[in-house]
Amino acid sequence: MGVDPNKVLLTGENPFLRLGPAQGQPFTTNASFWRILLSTAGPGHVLFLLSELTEGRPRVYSDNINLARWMQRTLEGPRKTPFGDEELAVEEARFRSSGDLRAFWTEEVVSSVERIRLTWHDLGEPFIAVVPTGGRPGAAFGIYGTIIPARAARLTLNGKEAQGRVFPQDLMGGASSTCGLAFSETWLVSR
Amino acid sequence: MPPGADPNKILFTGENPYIRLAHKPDGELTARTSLWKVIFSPAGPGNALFIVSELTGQKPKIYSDNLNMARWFQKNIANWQHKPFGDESLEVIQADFDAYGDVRSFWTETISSRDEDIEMTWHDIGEPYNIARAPGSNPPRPFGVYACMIPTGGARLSINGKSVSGRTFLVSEHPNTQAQSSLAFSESWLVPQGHKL
Repeated sequence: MGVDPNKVLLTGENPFLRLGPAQGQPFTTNASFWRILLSTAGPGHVLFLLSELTEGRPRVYSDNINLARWMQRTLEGPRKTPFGDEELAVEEARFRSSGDLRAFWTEEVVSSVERIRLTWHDLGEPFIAVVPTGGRPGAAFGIYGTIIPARAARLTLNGKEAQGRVFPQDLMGGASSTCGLAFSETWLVSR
Repeated sequence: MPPGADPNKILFTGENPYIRLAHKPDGELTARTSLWKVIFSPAGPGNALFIVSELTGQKPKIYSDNLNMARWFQKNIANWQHKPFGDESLEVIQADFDAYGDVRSFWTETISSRDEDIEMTWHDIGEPYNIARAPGSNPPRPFGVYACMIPTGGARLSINGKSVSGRTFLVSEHPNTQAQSSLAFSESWLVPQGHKL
């Protein structure tokens, strides 16, 4: 412990919300939300969303298209997530959060035609998750994150609620779930 | 750093940018500030600024939008950092907090109370780095800390448009200076499980 010798790639928040019909089944909703304070592509917000509410197609919302494209190239593409395709449109949107983490947390994303609300509640004990840079085969990134697992979550798009449930999931040895608030999150790469 | 979940208890998480100014690297501080932007704590979310400077007549002052959180920080954290900030007879002045900028060039935090507008600006931004310190690694403090530190070669503090004199110095050039300034983002403090504050 001490000063990490690796290079900081970004720092911010990365709440995630994944719902499915049953434990171990493919997710019917997969949302990855980013609130970035520092990156080489600047600050801003990005929501990557894939759900039955988007007809199973990935969508990208952002208030900084440069940041969204950089995240696609740098994080999503190399990790082969559904969101790395730079042919996807980046929908201009406004972002706002509300809540008190002793009870619930909501992120709201508003584009010209859509209002998306992600809410986490029934929150569990927070913990720090650590992924060392280059410490796992195939994992180029190091991560420090403050994880607040949620036992319940909801995603709505223009008032319509996504189906599926939250399931318990181990995260780096911590008791977490498929939905959580990852605050104070920093990603690093080797120099 | 081994992979996994840190077994210690998280006390709070958020941001803790600070500015400390002096005329010389080893000179008396003309300003000491500690700004807390807290997302999660036992006393709730909120913002608190602890400040002492020549413009406050060298008297400590506290501004917050969550009185409960400010008092919690005084009781549990301030005494370990700068004892005068822990004096609970100090008034906590109600204020609004905002921020703007792009950390690739500058960052500004604004604190507005009924009578005062305070601006804190960091510029000449250095290379960010991450720290991870276990609880008890800096005795007698019981705390552990994870944070993304962004050192800055320049900082300005003004109250009602009047700037505090002095400047900030880089620790890389002046290892023993107190007059350093930094943006500490993604900061979480921990204590051992079962630890009583």
